[in-house]
Order: sequence, then structure tokens, then C-alpha cells
Amino acid sequence: MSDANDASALVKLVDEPIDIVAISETLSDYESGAHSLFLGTTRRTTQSRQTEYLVYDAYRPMAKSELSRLAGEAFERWSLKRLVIVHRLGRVDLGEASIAIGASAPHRKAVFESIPWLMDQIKSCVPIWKQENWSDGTSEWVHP
Amino acid sequence: MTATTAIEVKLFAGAQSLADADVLVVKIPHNATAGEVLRRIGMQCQPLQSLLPACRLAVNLRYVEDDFVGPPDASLALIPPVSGG
Repeated sequence: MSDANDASALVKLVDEPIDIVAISETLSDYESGAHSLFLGTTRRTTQSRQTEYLVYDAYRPMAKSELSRLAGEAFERWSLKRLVIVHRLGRVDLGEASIAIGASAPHRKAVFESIPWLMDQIKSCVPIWKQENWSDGTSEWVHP
Repeated sequence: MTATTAIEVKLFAGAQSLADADVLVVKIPHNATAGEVLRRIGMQCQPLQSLLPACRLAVNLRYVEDDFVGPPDASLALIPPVSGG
């Protein structure tokens, strides 16, 4: 638990499994009474099709830049104390996390509101792409 | 005759698959707008035409509007609809 009185954001793109424990430790803050962690994981069934695994690609420097910009906006809008956004790239198997967003703030409303907003923004403007690799051996990039 | 210059445009995901390349070299007029760059990409790489209307252009790591004119040494990327998260 940290008693530092500074607000901070951590944005990372990683090529290995997301370290949830490290995120929890980063969120720790004596001035925050609310901590929330969202994990987006690889789901098996989409409509009637079965996913074998996902692959994520990114335009890395721009993705990092956009994530940092969004983190800054979230900080300002909800007065967060800590914010961590980690997106995994490469192959992500069933049940594994492709994204983690953790936030801490003095009160719960800030973390309950900021994380869905961040996810919506990430899904609309951060240059990261998902490739579905189906159980029948076919694959396709997802461009909604 | 309008002078042209060759620029490199980075490709990703479905655009990369359709073009079968991760970088596209496109000939554009000097001081071309982003909209003109997108139009030239479609003209010079037919397989991308189906995806192009949904794509945005990024210049130096930022999305730009169609009337934007970037510097000559700008880094360009074609950004298809994103699906991270």
C-alpha cells in the first residue's frame, strides 16, 4: 500500500500474460477508498462459432500514444488517484486476459464510471486489432 | 502536369492481409490532402478498395481529417476499424 500523494497513470502494451498482482499493487493507495479492476478475456463462443484463440496486433507507438491520451482524459474527468491500462498483444488463449484496466479513487463512482468509458474509447479509437482464430481452422481480422 | 512524390503508408490487420504487404508505396501529388492520399491508395491498390471507406488515415501518430496536409517527411498509417479490448 502506498501513501504517496501523487496521482499517476501507467499504460503498457505487453507480449506476455498480464500480471494482475502487479496491477493491484500499483493501484494501492491510502487516499483511495475505491479500487476496481476490469479484465477483458478471450471468450469461447461468438454467436454459434467457437474461438480457438485470439491474436492481437497494434500500431504500437500510436496505440501507446492514444492510450496515454485517454488515461489523461480519464484522470482529469474523474479525479482518479491511480490508473493502469495494460493491453496484451500476440496470441491470447481462451480465458486469458487481453486487457486490464484498473482504477483507484477516493470514492466508488469515479472508478465505476471511468472504466466503462475507457473501454468504449479504446474500442473506438486505439489502433489495436483482434484476429479471430476459429476452431474450424479459419481466421479473420475483426473490423467492426 | 502535377509533380508527384512517393510516400510509404503502413498497413495493419485486414488491410495488411488484403494488400499482402505491411507497407504500401503510393504516388501522390505534392501537398496532397489526407482525403487525396486515401483516394490514391484505393486507385493504386485495388484489393484495399472494399475496406478503404471504413479506414482512417493517421499522420505522425494522430488521426487526421480529409482536408489535412501533412509535412513531407510525415509518418503515415492506414487505420482500419479497430477491435482491441
